[in-house]
Amino acid sequence: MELVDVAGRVEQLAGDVTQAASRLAQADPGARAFAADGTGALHAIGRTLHAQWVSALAAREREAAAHGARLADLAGRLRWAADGYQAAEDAAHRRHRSDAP
Amino acid sequence: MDLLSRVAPIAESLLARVDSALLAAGAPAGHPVWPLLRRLGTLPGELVTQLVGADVEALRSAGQPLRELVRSYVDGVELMPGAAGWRGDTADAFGAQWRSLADHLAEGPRSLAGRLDQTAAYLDDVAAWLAGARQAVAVALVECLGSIEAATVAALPGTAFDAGAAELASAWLAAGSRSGTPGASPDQAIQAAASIGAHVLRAAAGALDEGEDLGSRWAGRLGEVAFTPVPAAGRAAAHELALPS
Repeated sequence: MELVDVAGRVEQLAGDVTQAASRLAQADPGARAFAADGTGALHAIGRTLHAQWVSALAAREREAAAHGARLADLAGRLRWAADGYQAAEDAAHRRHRSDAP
Repeated sequence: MDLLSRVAPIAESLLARVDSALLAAGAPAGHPVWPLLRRLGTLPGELVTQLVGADVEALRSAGQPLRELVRSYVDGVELMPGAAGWRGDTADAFGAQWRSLADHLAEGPRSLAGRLDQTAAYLDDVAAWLAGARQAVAVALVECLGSIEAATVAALPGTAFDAGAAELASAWLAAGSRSGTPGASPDQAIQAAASIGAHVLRAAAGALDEGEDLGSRWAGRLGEVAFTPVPAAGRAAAHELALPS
């Protein structure tokens, strides 16, 4: 696979990971599902467990957003490298044609 | 539909009477319901009504998108091809960067995929706990419904529970004389309501212990995982890619 294609694949992965962050934000079934919306100690533990879940979900969102950006950065570098190689190759072709008798 | 969903509507009237009796007349001194009421901070009927609203299936379903993401992260890395014919220091440096990013995404328990998997496992544990809590309380309710205490509480007219202890006693005596139930007394009604309350709350207290254990077991395990970039010596900046023309 050409370098530019690899850059495209990394770019796509970066987009997928970044999008995952917004998908995760919608994964919370809500406090009620955790028995977290009542009174008393049992529902207090439900609230604690729901808070742990919300906190974990937020951490997963941040991780995905940050890593999507890192992958996008790598994709950009790869694309830049691919362009550089292409330019070098084109220049070599031009030199070859001009050197020809 | 689990056992609690089926039993709670049947037990609703009994639990309403138990709650009202506890509110109106309390319970005998030293009755086991007292420490349970203090610990759980809620009446049995209230507790059951709120527990019925908890949705175990919603918890189980919520883990599914996380597991789909785990698969997509792992596939994204495994299906990444190498660049044909790209060799040299710059290619090696980018390879190291890719490996570092790919590992952070999908390699092992401290990767993004690993953390997602653990977060979904946490949700499974919470769902299992909640299902267990519902089952335990439902079983307690079934046991109560068939008890002598339930029959005693059910014999009282509902309006009796809107008043204080003295009126509860009067209502009970009146009901006892009408139905011809021998040996019945207000104290027995209060005792019966307290016993039903204690039986339901005891099941909930067991669930509370397990819920607290669950919270402690997972505390600090789902925090954000930090990315460790490859050392600067192994990295290639874009400007290093300038190729001789």
